[in-house]
Amino acid sequence: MRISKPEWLRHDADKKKLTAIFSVDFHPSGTRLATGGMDNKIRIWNTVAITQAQAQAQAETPRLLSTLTSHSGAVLCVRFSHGQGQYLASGADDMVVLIWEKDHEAALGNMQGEGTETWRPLRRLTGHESDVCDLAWSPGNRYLATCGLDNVIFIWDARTFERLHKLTAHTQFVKGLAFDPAGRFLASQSDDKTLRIWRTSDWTLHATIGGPFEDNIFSTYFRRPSWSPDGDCVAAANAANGKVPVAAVISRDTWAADLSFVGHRAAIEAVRFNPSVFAPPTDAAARATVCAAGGQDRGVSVWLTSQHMPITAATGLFSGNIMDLAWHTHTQDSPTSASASDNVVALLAACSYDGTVALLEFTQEELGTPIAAEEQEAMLIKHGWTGSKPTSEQQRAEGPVLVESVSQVRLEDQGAVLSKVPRQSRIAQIMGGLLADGDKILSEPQDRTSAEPKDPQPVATAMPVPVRTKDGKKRVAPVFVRSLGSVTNILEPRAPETRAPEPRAQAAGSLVVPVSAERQPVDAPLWIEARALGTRQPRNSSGGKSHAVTLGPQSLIHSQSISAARVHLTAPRVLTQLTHQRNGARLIAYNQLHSSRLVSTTQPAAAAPAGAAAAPSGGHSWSKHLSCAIVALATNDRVTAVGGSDGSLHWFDAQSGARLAPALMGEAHAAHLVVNHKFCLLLDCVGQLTVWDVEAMRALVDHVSIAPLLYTAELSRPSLPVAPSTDGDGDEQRPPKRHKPTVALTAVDVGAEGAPLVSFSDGRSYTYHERLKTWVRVACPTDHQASDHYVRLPPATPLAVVGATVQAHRRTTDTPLGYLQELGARQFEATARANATAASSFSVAAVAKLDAAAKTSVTLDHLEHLLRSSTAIGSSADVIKHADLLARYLAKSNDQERVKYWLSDLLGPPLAKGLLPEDVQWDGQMASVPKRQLLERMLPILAANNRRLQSLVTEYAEALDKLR
Amino acid sequence: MSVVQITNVNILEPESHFLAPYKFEITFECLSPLEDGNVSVLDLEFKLVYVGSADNTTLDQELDSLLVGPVPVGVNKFVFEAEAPKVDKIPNEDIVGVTVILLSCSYKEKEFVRIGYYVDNLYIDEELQANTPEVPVLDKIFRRILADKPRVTRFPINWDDPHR
Repeated sequence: MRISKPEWLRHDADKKKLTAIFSVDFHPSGTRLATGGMDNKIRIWNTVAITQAQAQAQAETPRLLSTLTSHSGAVLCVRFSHGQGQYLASGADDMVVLIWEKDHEAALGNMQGEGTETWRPLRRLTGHESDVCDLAWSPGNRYLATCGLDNVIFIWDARTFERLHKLTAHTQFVKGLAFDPAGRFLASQSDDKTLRIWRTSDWTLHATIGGPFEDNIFSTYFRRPSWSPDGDCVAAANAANGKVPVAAVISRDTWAADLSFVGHRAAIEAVRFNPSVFAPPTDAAARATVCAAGGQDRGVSVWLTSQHMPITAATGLFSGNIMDLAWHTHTQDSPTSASASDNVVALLAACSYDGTVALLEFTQEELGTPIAAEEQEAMLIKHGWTGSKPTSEQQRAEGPVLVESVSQVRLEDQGAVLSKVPRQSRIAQIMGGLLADGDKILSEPQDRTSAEPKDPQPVATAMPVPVRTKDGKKRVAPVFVRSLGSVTNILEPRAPETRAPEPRAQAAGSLVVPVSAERQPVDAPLWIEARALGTRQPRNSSGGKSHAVTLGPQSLIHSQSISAARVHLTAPRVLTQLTHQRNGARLIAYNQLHSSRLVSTTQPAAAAPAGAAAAPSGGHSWSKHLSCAIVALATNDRVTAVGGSDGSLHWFDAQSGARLAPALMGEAHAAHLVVNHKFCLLLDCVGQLTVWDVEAMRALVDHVSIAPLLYTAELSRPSLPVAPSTDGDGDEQRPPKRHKPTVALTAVDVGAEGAPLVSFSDGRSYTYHERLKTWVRVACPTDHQASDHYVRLPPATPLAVVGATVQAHRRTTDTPLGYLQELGARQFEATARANATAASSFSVAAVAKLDAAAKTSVTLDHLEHLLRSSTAIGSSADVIKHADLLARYLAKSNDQERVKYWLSDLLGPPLAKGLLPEDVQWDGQMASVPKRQLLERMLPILAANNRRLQSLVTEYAEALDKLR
Repeated sequence: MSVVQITNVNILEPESHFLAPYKFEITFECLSPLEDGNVSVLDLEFKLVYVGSADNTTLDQELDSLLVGPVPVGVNKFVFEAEAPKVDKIPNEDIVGVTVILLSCSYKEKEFVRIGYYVDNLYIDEELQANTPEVPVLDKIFRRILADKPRVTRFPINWDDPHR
């Protein structure tokens, strides 16, 4: 190895003081070296003059070939294009990227009088809003990527220099870029402590690697990563292993940092792979890549990936931090090889903040022999390299027709494959015949679930490796993901009168259908009365006396599963007639013992007498016969849902009566059936709640038990038992040892977004959170009593029984959550008054003792709870209402951190940089209201109510403006 | 109803080199314990078959088989990795083009589900595409599994005693 540091290679020929050199790059031919400096200039140097001692002696050999002076800010990166090196791209402090081309006509030298070549700026690429830190040409010069301190990456067409894409996932300065030599990915490194991998096919984020940078506490000018020439890994600068600064080597397959280059004593600014793969000196058959790293400890280390130790570590070269590195390899056909002496195979240039450049020459004995370009290209094929050949001239002239979407690519691929399948071939037979018929193919796949990879990540968890069995077969134990269903597990809680829990080893895996022999002693099942609810009650719209009577004994629809379950809702009785009316549509079920007739009319017709054979007159009407009695009915203008006495559930189109699905079979009968919008909610007799999206044929909530809610209600009830809300109707038929709950179900509904709502007589309301997979409480009259927004009824309010009218009310009100609160308060008051307990007044007294600050704090929490609840039940009106209130109280509280949290959460990435966790999965909506719209509402309220927040408010207002 | 249901097959590298191994991440549901009177727990056997030639069944290759067990009741997953087909057993003219791989699962040696995927073996190099060589250039051939178009065939078996 020979190191040279030409004294004349500097950016400030005239002045005494050296100016920093930020970037360095070799022309692909190796004849030129470009440097970019703090003096806003780019200089192009003659490599020959540097490397050849005798040439250096000869003053005739030109050293400086050109000085490029168009930038108006420090030049932070210079990169020659690949292949012929036609272009030089530079990025600078002046936010501009310039594309330079050598002007062959201007043989007279440039106008600056320096150097012998003229390079003219060909294009000026603008768009960055801050310093341009790094740039990279894609292999084959198809794209140019640039990044900077404005946190974004731009992708430019490297032929037309049109801006194609803006990549915005980074939340802080982006300080380095590297293309995959196979052309599939772009790697970017940012101060947000991530390295991100972007797919070049659609420019979406492929992977985010944060691990190697977590411990990193060092700040660097740059974080220039580099991709290995064989495509296998990407080396990242400024990583840390504990407190040790390292360069992390991230493997392409797993995106895990398996290796690190350790040894530097300070942060690493740049890593650069030699663009060639080498056959190392020790083993000509092996293949290795060469990587250099340099940084703030001012030393350069060079690693051969086949060795554990660096092949060299040059220290003391510089008096300033290393800013950039560049390699050139002498290949057989390169113009520099003839002049290369002493079997030098590679040149490494390093530039420093101290204003100097050092050149390290490596010999064949040190690195080995670079392998043939063909072989190197072949190594990339496994990574999807498709050849560097330029597209045909014609294509170039016309410009390729760009594929505009990923699905387009996928469809094209499918079409291409299927068109190759010969008709009638065996392959066609295996795959279901009739392949050439396009339509047929699309409908052919039987099992969509097996087709769609639900998990886009390859394999999240480490999978066990197969082992060989005695008879030589491979065997693997599968990874247990979860047990089946959730039903059996939820129904396990004990009655409030606690007993020693009995171990139930089988519980986790046992099936849904309970076997009575195993579950015989049901000591204290909870029965719950839902009498207050109207859906089941016969109602006669004519206002006359109901002529519905119970048909047959109740045991008619008792099943084993019901008696074995722990939660029982009052079993529906089979009535001769069941009516449901909604929006002018009327649905009447006429029941026989084992059959029924369902009639739907859109005009309110006179009540047809039971068993009347004639179909009611009217334009839109339909009727049908079912082979079971109807126990539950619900309809709106889209969907009619019918629950049968045999536990079946039927869906019909409300307008035409067309059947929407086969009979759905549940474990037990419907206790409550609700339809709203396109959603159907079923609460069955064993307390399992399901919500379906009827149109999408999909369950949103899947057999979730309401048992936990009942137990909670039992535990939290006041010490004095509340009078049961029911009389003894039907009681005599129940098992004797029943535990009677003190709360009753007062409302079951499904929101416009499909969220179920369950309200109880203790005033609490719940919804099931689809993603959290748990019940969440959205209204609770005992919480937040000190809040200014706690709904308290004026003492004189008549405590009307809510019950059956709840659903109607809830839907007519704009803000369902507000209604639920009022409902809760009403019931709470009612309970308190009925029992003459002091619970209510006691809390009021306690509340009175709180000071103003505490009250604001409680109110704030209350409003946050309300806002989150509104989101959970998917009520946009409630979200807006409570966001406004929250803004007012946030202003009042003057809690800067809290304000900042909400503003950042509403603004979302990437602008809320540093305030949200890096890996935040930002959901841009609350219910169906865009968060940024809420932010827009809240900012003026905050500004108007508390001027001390103005710096925060302005900051976010500006960020919001930027997005428009 | 089948005791074991395959709920998801995630093909890990649907586009790869012709000679690269096949990798499937398979998720399945087991509804009741797989056992019989004498042996405590029985395994499932997964197989991957490569249809070597459209014209000749004997050229089908079993790429690999894997016993999976013990299988607890519930949802389970594992990765099935199989070697690429042996090239010397495929007629030259059948290497490039569309064929099928069959992923099958058996219980007590009775196949109960079979999932077929199209595999397109092709040159990406334009020149080779235009003039396909008679002797395939193996390291330039790529394969693309059409993960979106599986053909699932289920066979009813008696899970208590499949041989009955």
